[in-house]
Amino acid sequence: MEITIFTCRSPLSEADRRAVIRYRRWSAGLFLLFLGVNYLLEHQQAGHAKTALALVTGTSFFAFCVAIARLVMSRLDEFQRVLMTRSFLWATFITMGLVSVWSYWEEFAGGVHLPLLDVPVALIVMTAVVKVVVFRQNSPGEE
Amino acid sequence: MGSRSPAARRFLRRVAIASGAYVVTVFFTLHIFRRGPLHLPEAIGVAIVPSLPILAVIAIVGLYLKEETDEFKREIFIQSLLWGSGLTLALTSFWSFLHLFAHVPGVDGFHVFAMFWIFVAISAFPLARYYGGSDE
Amino acid sequence: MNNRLKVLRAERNWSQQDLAQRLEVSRQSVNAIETGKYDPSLPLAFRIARLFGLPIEAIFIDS
Repeated sequence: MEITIFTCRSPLSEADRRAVIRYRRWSAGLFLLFLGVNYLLEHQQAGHAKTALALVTGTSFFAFCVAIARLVMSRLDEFQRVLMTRSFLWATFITMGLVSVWSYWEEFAGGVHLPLLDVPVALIVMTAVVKVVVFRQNSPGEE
Repeated sequence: MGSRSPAARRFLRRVAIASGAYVVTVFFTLHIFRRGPLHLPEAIGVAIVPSLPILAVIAIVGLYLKEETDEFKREIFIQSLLWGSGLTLALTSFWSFLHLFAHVPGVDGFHVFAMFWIFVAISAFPLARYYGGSDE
Repeated sequence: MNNRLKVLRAERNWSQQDLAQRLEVSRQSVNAIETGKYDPSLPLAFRIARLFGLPIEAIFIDS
């Protein structure tokens, strides 16, 4: 499910290999749960059931993000984890900055509405983008 | 932050200045827009002014991480930033689905940054407890 | 932190990839440690020292 766009440490120990398999199963399962509950939500009448389903959808979405993060981190060595942490923090601040600028534009200058769901999605996308830049900056090059 | 390093004191001073600037710029922007409609380029320019102190806080965080010589304090701060990000991601995920499907009132984008810092501050307490008390 | 990793590696005719595999880290990490961009954690520093059969102080130079 995940796209491998970096070289992970090699070889992975047996414990790490099992962890990767475990996180892959969790991320696939949570993604399917998210899709399934989302589908149910579309066809549900308003009420407590819909609120509960909305909460389950939100939970599965967030848990899926956590599973992907743990999958990624389990394949990285200590230096790559430092780079990944740095990427995530950069992405957080870039996303927060952009969301703040956009929301003031929306509030005061009649700008296009920014749906709240775009915030976590933007954070994930921005993390992936920044990660490529940071890893490329720290790429070892030819031997 | 326990006994504060010079870098931490500078960080708090800079954040206090940026926070004051943020309050001033928000009032300034509200005042300008209440006076009457603006042309689009001016409206966008004035609208973005309150976000400048927010961008300054981001730069201040970067400066602190660069200036702090105590690597453990840097590590703790980074961990609270990560927890702040994670909790913000969680809350915006839940809230956005509740807003979409259960018609819970929405949250404006500029509240997300404030939410992030609240979570960073909250996460400092369990982290401090986990790593033990202050200096002896 | 300065270190003699590159010299020790060259003495054994190991590439960065060879050293990375022996230490169970990525080549990226080996390169970052050699160029002083990254200081390894204590467990990794001990693994490096054990691999070369030298004390940590003989590999990493505290300038």
